[in-house]
Amino acid sequence: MKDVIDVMELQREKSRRLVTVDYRQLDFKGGFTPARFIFECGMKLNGQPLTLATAAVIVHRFFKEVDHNSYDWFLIAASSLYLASKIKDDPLNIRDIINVAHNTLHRGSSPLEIGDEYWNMRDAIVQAELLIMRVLKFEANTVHPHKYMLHYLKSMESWLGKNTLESVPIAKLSSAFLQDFHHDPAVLDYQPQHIAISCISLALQCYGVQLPLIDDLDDEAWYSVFVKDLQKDKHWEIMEKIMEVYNREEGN
Amino acid sequence: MDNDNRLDRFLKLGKAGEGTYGVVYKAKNKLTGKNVALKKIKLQKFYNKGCSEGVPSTAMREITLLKGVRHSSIVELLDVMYTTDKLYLVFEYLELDLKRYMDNTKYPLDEELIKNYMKQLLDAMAYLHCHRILHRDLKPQNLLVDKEGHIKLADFGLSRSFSLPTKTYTHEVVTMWYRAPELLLGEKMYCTGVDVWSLGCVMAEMLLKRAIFPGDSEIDQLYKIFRILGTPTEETWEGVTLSPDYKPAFPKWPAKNLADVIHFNNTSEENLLKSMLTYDPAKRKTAKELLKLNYFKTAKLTTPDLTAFPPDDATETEAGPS
Repeated sequence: MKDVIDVMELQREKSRRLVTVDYRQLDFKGGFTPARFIFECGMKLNGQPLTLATAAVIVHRFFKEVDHNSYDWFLIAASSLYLASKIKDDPLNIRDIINVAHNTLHRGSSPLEIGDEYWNMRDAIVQAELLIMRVLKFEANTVHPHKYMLHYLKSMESWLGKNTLESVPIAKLSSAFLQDFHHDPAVLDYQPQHIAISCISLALQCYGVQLPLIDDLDDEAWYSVFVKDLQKDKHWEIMEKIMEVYNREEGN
Repeated sequence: MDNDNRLDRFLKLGKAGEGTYGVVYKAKNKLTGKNVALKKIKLQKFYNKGCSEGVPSTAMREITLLKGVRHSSIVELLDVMYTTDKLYLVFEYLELDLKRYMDNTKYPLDEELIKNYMKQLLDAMAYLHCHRILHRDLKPQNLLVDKEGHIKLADFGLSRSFSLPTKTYTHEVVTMWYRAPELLLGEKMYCTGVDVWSLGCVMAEMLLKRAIFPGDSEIDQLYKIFRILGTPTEETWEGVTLSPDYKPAFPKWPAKNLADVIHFNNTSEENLLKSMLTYDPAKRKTAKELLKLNYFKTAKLTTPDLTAFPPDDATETEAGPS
């Protein structure tokens, strides 16, 4: 379980450092960089978690279809955020997106004046939106793990007892893992139910919370109550993928 | 962006109406001979400096939601095509909307036809709600009918996915006459019950052949409802007095007997409508529950009044990227 505890340490480190990265110096990292850009901009814009997750999924799906060297990653990221806000009915103002994206790329810069640079960026975001939709064949709706996670955590509350769940922030940490996993295109490779279970599982292990076994059978995992088709090796694979996200970030 | 040459497959047969965000044309697929509805969205309108908002969010929601649903009573999005400055949504074509059908027919709607339509609509609604989609704009103009007796939900421009009840939904959405009382009273957290209420208003309209609550402002809309169903109280709707726009000074109208307002064909029809027009959203039955009512046991596909349908004589023109 050393790896899992390290994830906690990485999270603590991250909050202590609060690094402001220069995105222009970063590599594509298989989509990690544009996704990270989305989450930073999205949080500054007070976007809903589902909106940011949708934007990240859109970016990963887009770059799965095209050569990332052919496009401006940050333009695609900003446009995905704008697109996701429309799809999720969480309207983010295009002017705010432009200013936040510009400021995040060019730290310390003031908001763009309404001039050529502003209009060019606005036009580019709007044109990129249709390009993204075309590449995704207009299929941009996603089934997210969030709703499953909420359902599982709610069910576990009565199983473990409210006191246990309130004494350790399982829900908060599970959500953090889920959000962070959206930085990695691997989030596209697994069923949303399985991702939700793996995030909760990781959080439980971090806090050393033991869940009762089903019918006292050692080989029956606790999550079989929720999902029947999640094999142990697949479960571990997803948890490892989630942990890899933090190693990737360390590499910046 | 290249012109989408798939557009050449269609012959334009004329204008079919105005959608949420553009003109709708009737067209024929030259390859299959089948009619389609082409919804044209002009993009340059959104790309001009000063208002470049991109693809309208209503269109975006309609595309993304309809791409993920398939149901016999939901209009099918067959394709999305694009040119440099336009987006075309290709839908299956149905001859009439329910509003025009009711306007065109001289007689009250047949009770079997109403039952048939309600069964199909509740089926579609249960499917949408099960997939966590609210339509939010159900009205006769958004329900399409054909000569065989099918009815389909259309115009998903205001629909939305719902999952986690963490945010305020836009509450000025459903066309006022079909708007649920919780929306009119300013509730910002709402759920599937708003669609059930709207469908109840549609059913009442099929029975009356006119809107049951034709308000001309939000307050008038509330009063139109109160005059028939009675002013809600804590007894009839727990928590109503806590709604943001509830006023203790609302006139206190007693509830009328619904059978005095609408001529019902039978009691099970009356019970269905009462279940849908229940004030308290928590007590309002879901589409899935309503489908279990005895009323639907005898539902079958029923042919509508064919004289209400227009003759098929539209002139043909190339669809092209006009």
